[in-house]
Amino acid sequence: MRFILMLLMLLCATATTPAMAADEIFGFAIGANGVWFDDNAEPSDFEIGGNVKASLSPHFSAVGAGYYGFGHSYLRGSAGFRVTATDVNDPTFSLGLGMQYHFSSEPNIRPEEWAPDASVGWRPWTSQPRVILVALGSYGMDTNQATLMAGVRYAL
Amino acid sequence: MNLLQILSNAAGVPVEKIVTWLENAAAALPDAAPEINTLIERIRSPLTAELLGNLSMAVIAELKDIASGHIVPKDHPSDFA
Repeated sequence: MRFILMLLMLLCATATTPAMAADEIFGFAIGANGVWFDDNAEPSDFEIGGNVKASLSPHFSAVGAGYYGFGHSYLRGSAGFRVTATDVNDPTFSLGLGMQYHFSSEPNIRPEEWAPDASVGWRPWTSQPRVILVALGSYGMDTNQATLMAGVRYAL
Repeated sequence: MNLLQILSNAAGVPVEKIVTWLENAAAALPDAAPEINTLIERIRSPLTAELLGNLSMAVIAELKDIASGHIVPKDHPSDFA
C-alpha cells in the first residue's frame, strides 16, 4: 500500500512539472513488465520496478534496473551498457544493443550472469512524452537461457 | 540480420509470431496503426555490415571522448528497456 501511495505521489509530482527535458545525463523511470523465460506463451511473471540510465555520449549509455517479480517473489537487478543503433537524433524511437550483468534474490529462477541484449524503445504519443513502450530480448551467457521482456515506462 | 531476428533469437520466439502480434495490435488499435506499422518496418530494416561498421567507428570515437571527460548526453527511449 505504501509503495502504491509513493508511486501516486511521484506521478502527481511529475504531472505538474514542465515537459520532460531531453538530453540530460541521468534519467530515471518507473515501470511494469511482462517477462517470458520458461518457453510458455503465457508470461512467466509480471514485474514492477524502475530503471536508471546515464547517457555518456550520443550512442553510449550506462543502464541499470531493479524489479520485483510478483509471481515468483523475486527481486532482480541489472547493470551494464547499451549502444544506440538507430538515429541518435530521433527522440521517439530507438534500438539498442548492449550487455548487462543480472543479479537476483532467486538465482534458480532469474540466474545471475552476463547477458547480451537487444532492446527497443518507443514514445508513441507526443502528448505524453514521459510514457515509453519497451521490449528487450536477452541471452544468458552461463545458462544459455533466453528471456523476453515487454513493458511500459514512465520517465521521471 | 535485423533487430527482429536478434529479438527472435534472443527470446526463442519465431519472427512470424512477433510480426503477427504487432500486426494484430495495429488492427486492434487503428489510431496507433501508422506508428505500429512504422515500428514493424524499422525492426525489419537490415543491420548491414556498413551500418554496424559505422556504428562501431562512432562508438569507438565516443568512448575516447568519454575517457577524456567530454560527455554529450542524448535521450533514447531504449535506454529504459
